[in-house]
Amino acid sequence: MTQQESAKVGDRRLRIVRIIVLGFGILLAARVVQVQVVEHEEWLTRANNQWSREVTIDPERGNIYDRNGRPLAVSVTTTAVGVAKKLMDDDPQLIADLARVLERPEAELRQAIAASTSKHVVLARDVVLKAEQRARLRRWSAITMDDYCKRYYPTDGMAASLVGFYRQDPDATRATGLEASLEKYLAGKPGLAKEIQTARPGEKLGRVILKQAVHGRNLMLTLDADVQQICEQRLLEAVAATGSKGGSVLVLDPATGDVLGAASYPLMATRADNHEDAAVWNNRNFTTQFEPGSLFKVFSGAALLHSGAIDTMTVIDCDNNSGSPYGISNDKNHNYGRLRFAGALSVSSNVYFAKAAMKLPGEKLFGELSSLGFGERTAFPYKAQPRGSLRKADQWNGADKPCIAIGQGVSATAIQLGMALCAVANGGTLYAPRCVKEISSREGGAIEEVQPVAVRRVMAPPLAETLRAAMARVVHEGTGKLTELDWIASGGKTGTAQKSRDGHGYTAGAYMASFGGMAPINDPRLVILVVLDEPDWSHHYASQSAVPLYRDVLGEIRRCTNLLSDVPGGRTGVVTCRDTLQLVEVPDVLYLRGAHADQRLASAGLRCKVDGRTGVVVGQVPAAGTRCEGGSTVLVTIADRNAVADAAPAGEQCPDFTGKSNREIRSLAARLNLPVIINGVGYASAQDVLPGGPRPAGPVTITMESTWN
Amino acid sequence: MGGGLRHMLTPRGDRVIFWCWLALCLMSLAVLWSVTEPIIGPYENVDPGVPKSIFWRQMMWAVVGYVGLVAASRVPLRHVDNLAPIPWLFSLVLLMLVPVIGPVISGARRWLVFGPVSLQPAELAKVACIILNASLLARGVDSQRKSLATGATLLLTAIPAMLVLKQPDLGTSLVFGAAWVAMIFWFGMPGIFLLVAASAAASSVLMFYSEAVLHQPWPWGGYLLVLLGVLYWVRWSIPAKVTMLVVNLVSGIGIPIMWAQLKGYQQDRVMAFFKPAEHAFSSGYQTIQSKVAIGSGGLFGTHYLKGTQKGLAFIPERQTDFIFSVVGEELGFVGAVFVIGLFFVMVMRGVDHAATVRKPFSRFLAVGIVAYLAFHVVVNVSITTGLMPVTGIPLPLMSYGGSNLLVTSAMLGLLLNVSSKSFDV
Repeated sequence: MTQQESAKVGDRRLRIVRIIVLGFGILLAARVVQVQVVEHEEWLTRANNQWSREVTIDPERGNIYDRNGRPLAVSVTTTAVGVAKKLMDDDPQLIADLARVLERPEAELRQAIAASTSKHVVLARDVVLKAEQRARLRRWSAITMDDYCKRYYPTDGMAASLVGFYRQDPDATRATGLEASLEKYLAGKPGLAKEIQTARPGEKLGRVILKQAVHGRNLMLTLDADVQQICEQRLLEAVAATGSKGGSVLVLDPATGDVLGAASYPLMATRADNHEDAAVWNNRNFTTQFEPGSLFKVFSGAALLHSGAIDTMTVIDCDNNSGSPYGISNDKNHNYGRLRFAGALSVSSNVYFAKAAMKLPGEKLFGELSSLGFGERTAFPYKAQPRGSLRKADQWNGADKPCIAIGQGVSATAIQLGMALCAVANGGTLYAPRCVKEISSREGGAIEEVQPVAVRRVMAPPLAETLRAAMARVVHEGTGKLTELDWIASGGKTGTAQKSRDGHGYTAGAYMASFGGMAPINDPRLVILVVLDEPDWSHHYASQSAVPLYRDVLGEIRRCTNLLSDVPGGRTGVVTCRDTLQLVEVPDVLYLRGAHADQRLASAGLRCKVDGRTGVVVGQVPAAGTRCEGGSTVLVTIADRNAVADAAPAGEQCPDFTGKSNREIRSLAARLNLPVIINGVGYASAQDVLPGGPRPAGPVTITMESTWN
Repeated sequence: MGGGLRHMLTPRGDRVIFWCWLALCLMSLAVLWSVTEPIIGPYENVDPGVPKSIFWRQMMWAVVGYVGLVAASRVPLRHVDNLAPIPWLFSLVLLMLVPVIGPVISGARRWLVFGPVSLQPAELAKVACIILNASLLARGVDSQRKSLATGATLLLTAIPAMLVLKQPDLGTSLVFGAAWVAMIFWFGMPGIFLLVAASAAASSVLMFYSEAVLHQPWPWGGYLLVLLGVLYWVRWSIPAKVTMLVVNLVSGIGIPIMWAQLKGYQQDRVMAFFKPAEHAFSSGYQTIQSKVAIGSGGLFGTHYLKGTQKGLAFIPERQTDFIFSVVGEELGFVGAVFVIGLFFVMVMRGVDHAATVRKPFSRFLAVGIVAYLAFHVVVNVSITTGLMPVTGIPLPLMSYGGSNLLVTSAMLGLLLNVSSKSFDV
């Protein structure tokens, strides 16, 4: 090979080498372009998913209170505490910390961890952790704390069908009642956070909040828990007494349209056992429509009077064979002779209303009735409310007009009837039923009052007064006579309607007995509508079933709440209605020996539960003089007499109540014979008379604070 | 006097290569600073996972490397040529000492520890081998016994390469081979040999792919059919055709036998390359994390000190073999291409000098150095971008490691030395 040839070969090789180098350069650059430019988004997503996880921050659900601030549904942030087995080391301090926070023995925890086959062992749920406890557990990377919101219903089964439930199941969130329909207030808006971790297993750097959660708002309902309790108790008794299939009691404030109580049968004693039975969760006051029957005559009467078809002096022959349209006859074929409006309402004459309705054009009757809210869903926030049925006049056939006038061929829900009754009671204003009284933020500030909503004026005050007078006569001398109470003048109207079957024909022996009343009749404070579904034959008339229930509810409200305490007129001082509870006065057993105290309580019809072994009674709950139900248990504390001095040392001093539970306060107060007023729930946080200060003459007011917040 | 000092402290030769060297060293320090700093973000004081001390050590080594670079650029090349066997023998002794006294670090014996200094004899062996090969080839270039020179260099390269392979360090042992092939090619080995070697490599890879990955015969079978067709049409001598066919058959069939010889982790890495998703949490983890980091960088990167994959410890070996992933993440496409570009410029300049310099020793030395550099860069970047299975190869000048930095700087010094002669033809 000559030098030249060698140089040529060298040149060719140089070219090849350059091409190879260039090729690799382009290859690498192209690869970098592919990974960094073309596939950038994909890798970026992947990178973000590795070091961060977007987590939603659950907002706290708003609480629901009754009108007096009693909690009906509260949210508590609880924690599930667990351990990741893989990250556990043998440090005994970890288990010791867990045992201390969870208040469980170490051996038990060790066993629980060892017994589980999964990598992550949940040791406790529903734990409410304090900041200090949280900090203690956070030191261990093996300990997991998952927060979640738990809903508690302090009143349990009471008002359950109205309040409903809220439950987060793994597959879906389920809610009923107000929990479902007031979701927009209660739910709040979830926040967003990024949870950051490194590649080192278990190393979490905490979270960066991208968007704060907006907590749900607290709602104060118009509901009065006491009234609700009374309604439910009385309804339960009435259903049992009348053999009814169901029933409902609705208590309204006519001045505002407030729903004070809405009991519905079937009731539930406790929430836990009844979740699957859907009927329990329906509040019939809002979900069940029925033919109101004679109760509807109040409203057809209002329509007839308002439109001028009749006046109060119009006399109509109310005999059955006096040419009543479509053969409509009075109940039991009574011949009532010639009646005016008030008399006809009081005996509930079908003939009167049927004949009078024939004087009024159908459109006019329809217009009057629909202006009272029939055939129109109320604004009450309860789902699955039917419209009720009130067909338009052009769809009526011949018999419809007189039938509707006596409450047949028309259907309505209890809340519709109740609101229309409120309009009569308050002088002619139809209100939308008010459910929520106040909306406040969870942090406690910014209270927004929900004003009552007047939908429209449906009649003039004089007409309303006329109707009320007629309803008073129903109670005084007509079908509602059993409701007549000597302490209050009340008015109302009975309704006994045969149950229709799918709108065609009626079921023999199946009745809806109802009574809609208001008290006191001159200036109604309450409108109460009671309905009993299919009471047995001996109680099928409203006057036999619904009327006594109305009377019992009204009496109980009078006795147990402040709603009617200053009613003018009537003999309000004396409670003359039947005392179904048979309250007895708790005798004074202080300083008696245990056996003696037991004997004295038994003779008063009370049971005795003894706390302590030897000595004399140093405390009793309830205190002597308290009126309570017969058969109730009186808790008696027995101690050595000498210990009494220690237990209640300061005869002249005010004791320290703070930190004590309601029961402890009452026990201590009873022991010292010191009257107390307990405000709120939970544990005592403040008292108006300082501990150790001179014993006050009047009661000590104690403020309780709940641990829920 | 000032001139004398300046003479002592500055390298001579190709300025461009020197500036590239400097730029890469500075970038290396910048990236290592970032690697040892807690990430800047809403989450503070995160343990970077790599001690700050390595930054200072690398800075020290950069100074030492500079001294090596200057010295190598100024040493008379004929002395290097004449003394070539000495470093080779020295490095061989060190390499043989490694299995005897070297400590086991993550399953391999690669280091020798002398007090505070620990070094990898394999790094020294690379440069010594290149110098010795250049010396031998320069002596054989005008003789009639070219094949003797070729055989001798093969033997002298294979001995240290096998010792390194035994450590085990597959990546570094491949560097010996790559430099040898490049130098032989420049020496004038017939192209057909390279073609045969390339086809043997292709046959091996395809056989492996058929047998271990796809479990179907068609990729290798198809390749063999194509080869037979090509051999039928091409105008070669019968013995050449037969040799080609035999080499292909042997390399293809030999692969399963070779495969059985590989260590378990080496098999895993190769399999992870072919099926990364199945090995996402084991051997494929490094590849995937590296791609995630580079890919998430995008055009301009996540910005200096703000890389999450680096700062939250997702990138494995981010101070050494996967430092390019940090560049890709924090400095983005722009930074990655800049680094590749610097190496590209050095290699291209090196090739020019190899072509223009007159003395055979200088020429072969330059080729060996350029091949060494290019192989490292191509393999490292290919690994970090997921083009190749993982094997431990550092990115020269960038990766943390004193031995590599000093050796690479010294080799570039020799290249500068060569370049100072190349243009004065």
